[in-house]
Amino acid sequence: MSDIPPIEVEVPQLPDEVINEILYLCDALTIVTFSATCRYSRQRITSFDFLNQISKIWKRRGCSLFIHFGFASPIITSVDWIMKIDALTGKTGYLNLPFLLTQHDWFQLIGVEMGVFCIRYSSLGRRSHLVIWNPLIQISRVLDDPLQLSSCEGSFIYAFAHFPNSVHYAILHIFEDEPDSTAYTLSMYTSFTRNWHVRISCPLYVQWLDPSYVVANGVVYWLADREDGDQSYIVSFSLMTLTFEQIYVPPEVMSHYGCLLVRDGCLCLASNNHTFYSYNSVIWQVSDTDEGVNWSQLFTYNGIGTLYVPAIIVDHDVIQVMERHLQLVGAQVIAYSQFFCSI
Amino acid sequence: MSGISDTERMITLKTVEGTLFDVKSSIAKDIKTVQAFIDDSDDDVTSPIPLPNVFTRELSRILDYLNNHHRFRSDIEKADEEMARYDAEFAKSMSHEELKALILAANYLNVKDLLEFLNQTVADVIQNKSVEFVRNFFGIENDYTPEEEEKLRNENEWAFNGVEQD
Repeated sequence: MSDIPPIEVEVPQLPDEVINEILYLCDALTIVTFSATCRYSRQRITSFDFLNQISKIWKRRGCSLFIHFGFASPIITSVDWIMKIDALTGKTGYLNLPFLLTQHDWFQLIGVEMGVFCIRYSSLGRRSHLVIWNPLIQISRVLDDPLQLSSCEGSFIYAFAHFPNSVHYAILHIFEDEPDSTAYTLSMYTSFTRNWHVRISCPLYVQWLDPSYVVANGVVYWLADREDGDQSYIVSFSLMTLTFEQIYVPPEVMSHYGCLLVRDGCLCLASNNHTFYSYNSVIWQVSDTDEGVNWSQLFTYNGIGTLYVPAIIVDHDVIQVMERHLQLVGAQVIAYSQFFCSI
Repeated sequence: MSGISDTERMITLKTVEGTLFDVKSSIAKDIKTVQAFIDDSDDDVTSPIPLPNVFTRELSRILDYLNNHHRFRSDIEKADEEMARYDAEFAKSMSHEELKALILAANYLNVKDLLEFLNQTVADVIQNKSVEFVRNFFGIENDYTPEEEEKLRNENEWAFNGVEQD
């Protein structure tokens, strides 16, 4: 080293990409503190890119995934059905909900996206509400439930989805125009309008929808729950174009039962042919192109219980499946097991 | 410099001030910007490699860090323990301004391990600190009105309770 004295200069500020790397290492409290420093910081922290990146990083570090599993009922009446599951270790724990539940109350987990929950609930015997809840930063927004029921009767569907590349979300509510009617209406709440002003009369094929749904790129998909012998189909609704579409499921793809999944941003269908037990599920990828809908078989998995269990696709090449074995329909849980399956 | 093998190739680095540092090629491999310069050169690099964004104080610290980490790694049994002790002292020895200057240099030179360590050091420094502390640390100018700031505090009250005194 030569003997030249160092010069003193003012240290320039750290570039944005370095500050982001630092923030990815911080806890939620520090990130919220940083967002309060100036307008630009707040804009950065709440941007889709930042949230998208930090959710991936936290997941890699074993940050908990929140998933709902159990018997496929649209209404959950016991808090025991909601568990917090660590993505790496599989350790489970209870998830404390942002409202009180007594034995006469109920809640329905409408959906979880980008770490944000949408839950419908009735607490302390009062009328039902919807709550948008971020458990990480413990912030919630309570909305009036369009149904405003204190019981769980009726034919209706809810869905929760984010707009593509955005932190804004929508809640969809599809309901019968009249009791026993075949005509349905969709109303939509968005986080930027903060009202339910969008109302659309649904096409006739929007019937028999399974309450389970998936979301990919701002499109919500439901499987139509048809009687045996009728050709199954998928109903989609785009948040961007506000239009419905119908995708028929070829008989060779699904002859008995299936559930929708999203893998690497693509719509998939897990199907099986067994009446009571759901072994040998076949995973199909659905590609909706200008030339038509293509169905490609990805792989077969022995053990996904499509009848009872949502399969969680963690990322491109790993599937995590939480499986619960039910002793009686809707009754006691006796065990659960976990699989990691490399494709 | 001590401990240099007779056979190992040496690279010379030149800082903004013109200070020259002789660096073992095995150490230079960890400095990706320098390694890229070497890889892009058709012939053997014999003249000093200029580092127009790096000052003497920072390069000296970076080389000190890399040399020590190479030394620790040669003794597997003690590596983790000694490295942790050294890293803690290394982080403590710098003021906040020196820490930021070192991050800028490590970022420019693309010294991945060191940059990750320094980023973690900053994350530790700003953890549980007030908004004002974080503003001062990053040199951020407050452009909120007092009313907006009050509203923000009310929205995120949980985050502002119990922060450490600066």
